[in-house]
Amino acid sequence: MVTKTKGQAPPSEAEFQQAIAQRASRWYSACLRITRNPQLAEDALQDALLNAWTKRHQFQHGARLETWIHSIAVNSALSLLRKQKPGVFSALDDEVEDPAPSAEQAHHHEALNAELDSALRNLTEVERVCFVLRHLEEWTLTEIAIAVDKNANAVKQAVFRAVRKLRERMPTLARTPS
Amino acid sequence: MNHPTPANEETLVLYYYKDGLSAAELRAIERELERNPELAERYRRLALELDGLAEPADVPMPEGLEYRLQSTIARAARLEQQDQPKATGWLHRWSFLAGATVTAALALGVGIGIWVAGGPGHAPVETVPVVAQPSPQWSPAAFERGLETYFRTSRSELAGLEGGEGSDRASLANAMLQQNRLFAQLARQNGAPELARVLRSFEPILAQLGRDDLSDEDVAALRAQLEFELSVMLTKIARGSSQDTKPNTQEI
Repeated sequence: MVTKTKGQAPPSEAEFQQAIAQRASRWYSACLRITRNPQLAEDALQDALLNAWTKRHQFQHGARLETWIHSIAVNSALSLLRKQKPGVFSALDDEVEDPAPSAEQAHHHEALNAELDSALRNLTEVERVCFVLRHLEEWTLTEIAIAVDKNANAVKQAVFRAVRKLRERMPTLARTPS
Repeated sequence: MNHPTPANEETLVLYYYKDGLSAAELRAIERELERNPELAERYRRLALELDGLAEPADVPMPEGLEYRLQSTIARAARLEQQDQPKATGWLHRWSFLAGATVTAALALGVGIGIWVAGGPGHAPVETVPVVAQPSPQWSPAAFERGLETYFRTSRSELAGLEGGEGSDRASLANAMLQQNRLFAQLARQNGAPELARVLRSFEPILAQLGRDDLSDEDVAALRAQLEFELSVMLTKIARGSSQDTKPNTQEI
């Protein structure tokens, strides 16, 4: 883990390379969960790394470089999703679910938790993004609202719908042993 | 009491995340859970189910992505270290690789069809006027023309930026970045991963060029470097095409 302390210089190239070797797979996975598109996930990661490198002087000492880049990557994925699908977050009541994945996407999605992945596919884009950000990325509702340019209540409703659908569509969850 | 109805599942979801509720609301729900066994059981099940939605295993990255990311950072670092644009060793090495891969890709033929529209010579720097789209038709020659037009147009647009606005530069850099990615994607999807990698290696320069905090000297250096790279690619394409028809007269 690369952790900087006060007074230290910005992360070096070697530290970036080390972080990539250790965590690129996790960053890619996070981007893929947001975009559900391998190409967009790659682009998001590439953008994020270049962005992080350019802004490495802003890196908060004491933070972990991997975590900082992870956050930039998620934001980058959201940004590319917005560019790819303008207005994607504007129709919160849109009940259209994700189309079936392409063969290439399906290959990548196989590696995701199959059941969760399958269930996530039955969410709308907004529901999925809000749920992934809240549940997996542990963003606050306020942070999500800012990212998707919606008010917190709209984000809450998207998360509620996502949780309800996931509970309905993942029967094995109910059998989780206590 | 001014707190949400504890029986409401939505409230329990917010309680699970400890988000979207005031401190008073949280305390009220805690008290309700202590004295209401039925509600406590409902919350226990909800929490178990949400706990079960743990972060899935990481997805294996596409082949070569880690190397490309590392190369991106290495190149961005080298770009910063260069005071002046010049044909340094790595540049020559990259250019040689670029030429070789372009030629290889064109010789092998990438199963790509593209259509090319527009051309150099129009004033506003809004977009790079080359558009590439996948097509079911196999046309490596069209791909070559598309690449060539893209490189040539980009070089022309770069030259036209002299003394222009920073926003024009950022706009052009962003347009080139998108176009570059499209060509790289087409190349990779059609069995030319090395060409895709070479195209991707432009990105650090383009990303730098799109920044709004560059000095005039930095911009000039980056422009010169990018123009050099584009010229090398054009030369290599021309040589590759020539060699296709005159195999013994040109050296790649």
